[in-house]
Amino acid sequence: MTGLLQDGAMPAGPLLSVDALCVQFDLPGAKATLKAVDGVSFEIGRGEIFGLIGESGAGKSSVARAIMRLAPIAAGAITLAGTRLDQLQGRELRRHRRRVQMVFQDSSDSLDPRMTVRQAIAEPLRMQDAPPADAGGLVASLIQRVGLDESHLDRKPHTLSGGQKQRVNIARALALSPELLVCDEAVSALDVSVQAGIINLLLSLQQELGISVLFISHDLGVVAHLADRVGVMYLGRLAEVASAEALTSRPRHPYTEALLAAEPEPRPSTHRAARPPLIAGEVPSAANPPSGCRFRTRCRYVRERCAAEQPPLRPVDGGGLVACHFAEELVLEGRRA
Amino acid sequence: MMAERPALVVRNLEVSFLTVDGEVQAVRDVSFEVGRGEIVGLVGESGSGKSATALAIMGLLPVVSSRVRGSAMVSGVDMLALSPRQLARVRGRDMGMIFQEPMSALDPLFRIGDQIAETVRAHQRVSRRAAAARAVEILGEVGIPDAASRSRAYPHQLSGGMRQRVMIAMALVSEPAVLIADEPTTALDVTVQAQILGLLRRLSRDHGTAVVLITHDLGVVAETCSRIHVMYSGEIVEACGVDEALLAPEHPYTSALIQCIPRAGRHRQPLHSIPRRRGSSPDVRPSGCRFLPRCAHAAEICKAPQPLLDLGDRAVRCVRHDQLALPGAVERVPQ
Repeated sequence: MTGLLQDGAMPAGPLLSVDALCVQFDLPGAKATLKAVDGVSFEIGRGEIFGLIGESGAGKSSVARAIMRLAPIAAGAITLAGTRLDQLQGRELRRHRRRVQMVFQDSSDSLDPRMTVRQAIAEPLRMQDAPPADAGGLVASLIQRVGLDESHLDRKPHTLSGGQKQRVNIARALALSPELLVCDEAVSALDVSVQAGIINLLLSLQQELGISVLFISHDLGVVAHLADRVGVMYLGRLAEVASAEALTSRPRHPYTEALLAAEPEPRPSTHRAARPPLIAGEVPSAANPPSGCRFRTRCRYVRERCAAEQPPLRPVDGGGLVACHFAEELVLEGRRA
Repeated sequence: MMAERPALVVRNLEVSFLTVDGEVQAVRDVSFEVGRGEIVGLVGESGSGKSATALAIMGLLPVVSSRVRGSAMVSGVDMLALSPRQLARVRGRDMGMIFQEPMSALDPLFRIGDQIAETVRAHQRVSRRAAAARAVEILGEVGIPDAASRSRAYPHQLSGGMRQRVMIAMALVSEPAVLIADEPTTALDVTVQAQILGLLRRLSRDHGTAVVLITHDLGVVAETCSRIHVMYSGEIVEACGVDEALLAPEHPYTSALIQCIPRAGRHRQPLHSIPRRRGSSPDVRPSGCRFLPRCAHAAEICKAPQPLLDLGDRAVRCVRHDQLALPGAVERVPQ
C-alpha cells in the first residue's frame, strides 16, 4: 500500500496540539453565550489513537468540530505539525483541510444517495488543486484497504449495509492521505458485530499507515479498547487524561470512577465485583455550569473547596493528568480485569 | 412447589409484513414466559425481530400491512384475539410499554401531571382530583424530585432522563401485570442509564410487574435480567438463565455476540466480528439454520431445518450445540 502516507522521516513533537481551546455559541433570544468547550488542552502524538469520552453536553463533538474548523473558536490555539489551524483563512484553510478528515456517526447522511461508491471516494480527489494522475487506481486500492472489494464501487449507498457505508466513509476520508482522522461516534449506530469490524479496521489503519486518530465516543468500553490515551470530558472541561490501561484500572478523577461504575458489564453475576455507588442526578446545563469544579454537584467526595476553586488539569504520579483538588488522597475504584 | 401462573405467556408467535415484494416474515416460532416480578431480556441485533415481537404483543402493528399469529396470554386473556376496542381497554391497564424515545409517548402540549392523570381516568372511575394526586404520587415513586410542582411541567422542560422517568410513570400508573420496555435506556447517558435500570428493577420487585426488556446490549441484560432470549433473524436461538448464557453459551451466535464486545485486559487485540457474508441478507433466508452463512462452526447437518431443542433449563436452536465448547464472557478453567 503506497501513496497513502507521505514518505520521509517523522519530525519530532506531537502531531496535533490543542491549547486552552474555548468554543462558544450565542444562545438565540437570550443575551448569553454557551461555553461548549471551556479551556481544553491536549496533544495527539504521531500514530497515536487519542480517545475522548464523556456524556451528552461534555463538548466532545465541539472539540472535533473546532479542529475541523466547523465550530466557532472563541479562544485558544489548535496546531497541526506547526501550522496554526485556528488562524487559517480562505485559500490557506482550504489547502490545509485535506490534512484532517472526519468520519461521522450517521453513515447514510454522509453519503450522497445519487453517487456511486466510486464517485463518493473519488470526489475529494477531484476537489483538489492537482488531482492525482491515477485516481482510478487509488480508489480501487482504497476500497480494498477498508475491507470491501471493487464490486462495491458501482453500487449506490442504499444497497449497502450500515457497516459497509461506514467503510466507504473511511475510504473517502483516507483518499487525501490525511495526517489525522477524526471519528465522532463513528461506530455508535452500528450493531456490535459490525462495530467490532470497524474497530479492527481503525486499529489496522493506525498500525499500517501510521495515521493518528481522534476517536470520540460515549462508550468507555470501546474507547478504552482502541485508544492509547483517553481524555475524559465533563461539561466543557477535561476531568482526566491518562493511558487507557491506567484510566480503567486506576481512575484518578471521581467522574471517571462514576463512569466505570455505571458501565453495564456483560459478565455473569458470579464474576461481577461490588461497585462504588452510582452517582445521582444528570449533567447540569452548560449554559449555567456550577462554580469551581463542574462535577461537584454530583461528586460523592465533594468538599467546600470544590465550589470555591476551579481545579486545574495537573500532572499526578502515574503519568496522567487530573483536574481534582484531592486526587492524591482519594482511593478510587477501577474496572476489574 | 406449585408455580403460579406466569404473568405473560407467548406461544408460537409469528409476525409477517406485507410488502410490495410479498409477505416477509419478521418473527417465527417465538414462545416465552415471564413470571410475576421477573425481568426477562429479549436480545438481538437490528432485524432480529425483537421489536416486532413487542409491538405484536401490544397489538400495535398496523392491521392492514401485517399478519400476527399465535397467542399472548396476559392474566388469562389472549391479547392477540381481542378486538381493537377490547385491546384499547386492556392496553395501559394490564400491559404497559415504554420506548427508547420518550417524546414519542408524551404530548408536548400538555403538562406531564395531566397526561398521567388522563391515563388513570381512562382505566379507573376516579375524580379528577384523585387522578391528579395519583399522578403526583407515581412521579415521586419513579424518582422525580419535587413531584408536586414538577407535575405542572411540560415535557420540553425536562431532561432526557426525567422524561424517561415520566414515561415509566405513565406506563406503570395503572399497575399493569406486564411491562414491555423496548430499548428504554439506549438514548440515555451511561450514568442515567444505570439509574433507570435500577428503577426498573425496584419497581418490578415492589409491584410484581413482569418486564420484557428488549435491548441490543448484553451488558444491560447482565445487570437487569434473570433470563435471556437471544433472537436472530426472527427466531429465538437460545433461551436460558443470564449467567448460564454468559458463562457457557451453547449457540454459536450467542457466543459470537459476546466475543464482539471489547473486554478489559485485551487492549487493542482484534475483536471478533461476525461478517455478513454473501447470501446472508435477511430477505434470502436459508431453509436450514438461519445463522449458517455467518457461523464459524457450520457443518453439512446445519442445512436441515433447526428446531428449538428443549434441554430442560435451556433451549437451543443448534443441532451441534453439544459438540461445541463455545467461549463465553469469562475464561473457563479447564476441568
